[in-house]
Amino acid sequence: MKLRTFILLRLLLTIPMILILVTVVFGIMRVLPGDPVAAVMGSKQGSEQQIELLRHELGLDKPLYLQYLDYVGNLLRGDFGYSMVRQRPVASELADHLPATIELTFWSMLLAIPLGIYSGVFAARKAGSKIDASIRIGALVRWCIPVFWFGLILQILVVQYGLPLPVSGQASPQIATVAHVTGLYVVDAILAGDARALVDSFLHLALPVVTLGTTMAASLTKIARTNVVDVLGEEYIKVASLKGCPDEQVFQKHALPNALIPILTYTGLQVAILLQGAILTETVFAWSGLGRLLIFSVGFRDFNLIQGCVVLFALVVSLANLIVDISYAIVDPRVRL
Amino acid sequence: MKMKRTYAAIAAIVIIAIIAISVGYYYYNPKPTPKEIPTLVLGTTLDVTVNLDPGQDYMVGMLDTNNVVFDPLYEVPPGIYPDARLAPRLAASDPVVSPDGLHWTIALRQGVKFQDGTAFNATAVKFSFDRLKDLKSYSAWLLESIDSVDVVDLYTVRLNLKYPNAALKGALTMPVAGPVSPSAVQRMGLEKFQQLPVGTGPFKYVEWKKGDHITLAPFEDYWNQSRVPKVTLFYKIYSDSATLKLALEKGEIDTAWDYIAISDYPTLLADPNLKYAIAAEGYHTWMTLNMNLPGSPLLDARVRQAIIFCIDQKEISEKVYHGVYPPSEETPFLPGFDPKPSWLRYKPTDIAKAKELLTAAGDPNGIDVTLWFTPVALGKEMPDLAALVQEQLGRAGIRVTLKSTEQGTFFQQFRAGEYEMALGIMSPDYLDPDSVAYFIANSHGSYSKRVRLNDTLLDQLTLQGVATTDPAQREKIYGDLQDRLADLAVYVPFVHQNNYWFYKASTVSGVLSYYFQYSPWWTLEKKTP
Repeated sequence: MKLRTFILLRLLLTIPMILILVTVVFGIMRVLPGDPVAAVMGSKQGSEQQIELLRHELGLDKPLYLQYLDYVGNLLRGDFGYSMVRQRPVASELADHLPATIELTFWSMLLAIPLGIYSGVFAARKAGSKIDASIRIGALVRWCIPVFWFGLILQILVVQYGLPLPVSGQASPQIATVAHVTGLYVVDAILAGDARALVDSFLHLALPVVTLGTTMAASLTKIARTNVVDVLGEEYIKVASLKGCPDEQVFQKHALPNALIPILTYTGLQVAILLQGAILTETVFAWSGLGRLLIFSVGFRDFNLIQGCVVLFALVVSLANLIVDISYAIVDPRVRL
Repeated sequence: MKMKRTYAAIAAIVIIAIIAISVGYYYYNPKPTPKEIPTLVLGTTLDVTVNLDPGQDYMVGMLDTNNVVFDPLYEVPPGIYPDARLAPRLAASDPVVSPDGLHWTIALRQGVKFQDGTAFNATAVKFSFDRLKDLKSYSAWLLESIDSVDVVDLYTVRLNLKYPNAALKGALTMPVAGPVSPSAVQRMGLEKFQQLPVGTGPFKYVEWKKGDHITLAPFEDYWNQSRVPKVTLFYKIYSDSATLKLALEKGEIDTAWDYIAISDYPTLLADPNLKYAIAAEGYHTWMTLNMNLPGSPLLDARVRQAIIFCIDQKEISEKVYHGVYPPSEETPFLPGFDPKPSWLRYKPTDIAKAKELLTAAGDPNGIDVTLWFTPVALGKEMPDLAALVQEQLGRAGIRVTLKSTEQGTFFQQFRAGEYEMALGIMSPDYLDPDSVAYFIANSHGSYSKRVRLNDTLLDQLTLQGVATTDPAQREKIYGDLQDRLADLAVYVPFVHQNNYWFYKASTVSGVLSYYFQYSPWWTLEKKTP
């Protein structure tokens, strides 16, 4: 199969996947107990007529199949619908919150991938030693600690020891008003040529990125170590050594490239885990991203907003996996067979 | 290989130098010039969910900011806490009410401008009140007694009412009743206006990043020069109370209030760097007893009374709320009204009396009841509160099954009157007994429906209360209403949920205790170290 056909097929497969996902989320939201209008009204003193009026305005009084057809029809036209709670288009809400999540996950990956792979490879080369054991135990412990708890502990330590790191938000109040061109604080600070804003953004990134990035790094460490140890035991590695190839060359040229191929796939899958972690990280560190928006919308049973967040998450994960699959197909042509 | 290492070393030195210079520059704080307005950061977990247009909603979060961006016609003046009374704000004086109570003539303050420069006058008031009606939004009910508005002259309006409404002056203190700039509404259109609306208040909206922060700047041409703010406000929204507390301790925010976990109060109260003010007095945590649920033992008033005799508010205050919220001994709490001690008939807590009542009701072996609650939306202490109530009622042989559900389901079923017993919170909207009385005592009130309360006397009293302008007569009416509610025993008060507003003593001054949640922020000042 040609690479172009492979990419096209993968792209086409994304469409039914999103449709199935949307249908499942739509169904779950309607099956679950909880009236969105009642959630919005909360304990406020409103009349039954006002509640019915709101329900009618939101189309919640229509038969379920009509609500579904309306939603899917709009989605196919690129319309995510209207947020019941925020009272504005869901697309605008998503556009406002996406940059914070992109920023958080990007920098977390940037920390996690080199840290995880390097420590995994390092442990594998020292397999059986105390360093190897320490790295394995460390990675296991970090992997086991829930993201929100780890974040909270970091915050407490920073406050307790008076460390010069912010514990919440994306920027200081004086900095937060830098012109939002992309919504990505680091990029906007660079575009504005504002060094103070740039440093401020990085300082605000520090704790959330360490919280989220080390979670991913821990799992990458385990996978990288296992793969490298496996590859180092392969026959062709032994042959290369017996032929007199220096150890470093055997490792760099033969072992490492082969060991890293499965890690590539695993990294793609980790994007989903990372987004899941982002939901909790954003809540703990008061980041105004998609994860926090999702929690907010679930609390209010804002159907359209929940569906919008889930579809966007699904698109991001699909895109990441698509990139990984394509890279994989380039690196290892066997997958195209 | 050697060359590569040299390049790597140079690159590392350059990167480290850039980072060092940037960090140094960041921490180098040049002293602000005298004209620079300092920024105060107010941290809260109250997110403004919908929009900021006062004509469209009045959720708690937006009340905080709208109270300083919009001037209502009347206000509860700051600085007199714990007292509370009504005083003119954009109105020049008290309203002149016609003998039949159906026409209110209000003289307006002159020389007032909207934040966009538009002149404020009677036409703007008519425009705003008509707009509220046209929008048919949730908040319209607050002024639903107004049939029409006449412009008498440039600075006088006449409100023509559908029925006499003694509570209207209280309702006119809500930001909902704050006039909006007609030119801004027309120029911006609904969608833009609801993002950054324009009023006449001492602060103006500058930026709203949803779910993250709202920035408010002083309105320098504010008509009351003594209230022109001295700070810019950065209203920072948190989703987790633990982070909010840490941010306050770290000094990232200058003040913090609702919602702070009750378990964090002892630490914050003991912190020498922090001071506090009361940020709202009117919240009450209570339990509802459904009086007309088929098949329920609560159909018998003696059983409901027995339940009330079991409740020990002091124990609830100490065990669930760490003594922070004082026990409540009023039912119902009616703002702006001195409570009659109707409730004291159920004091002190008396288990023997409860058992006696149960026996008289034909349940000598106790009863089985179900208590519903929602664990997060109405406070994270709800599970602990429910468990303690279960224990207290168990002392008289009342076996309580606890059931919890998420907020959407909870409010839907609660509103439909499907819960035998439920935990809730009651808060007044404005300073008038009717702000609470109608909703909890009239058979059409939304709270009455939750307990299936349908009582002819209470219907009469609630309608009389709102139609009567004479203070002495109103006192009598609401006293009778309290007596009747105590007879029926459908609401059980637990604690006064006085919210605390914590602030850094070293950076903030001018924090005032206030009767309502929304505080007079124009009094805030930033201290310079």
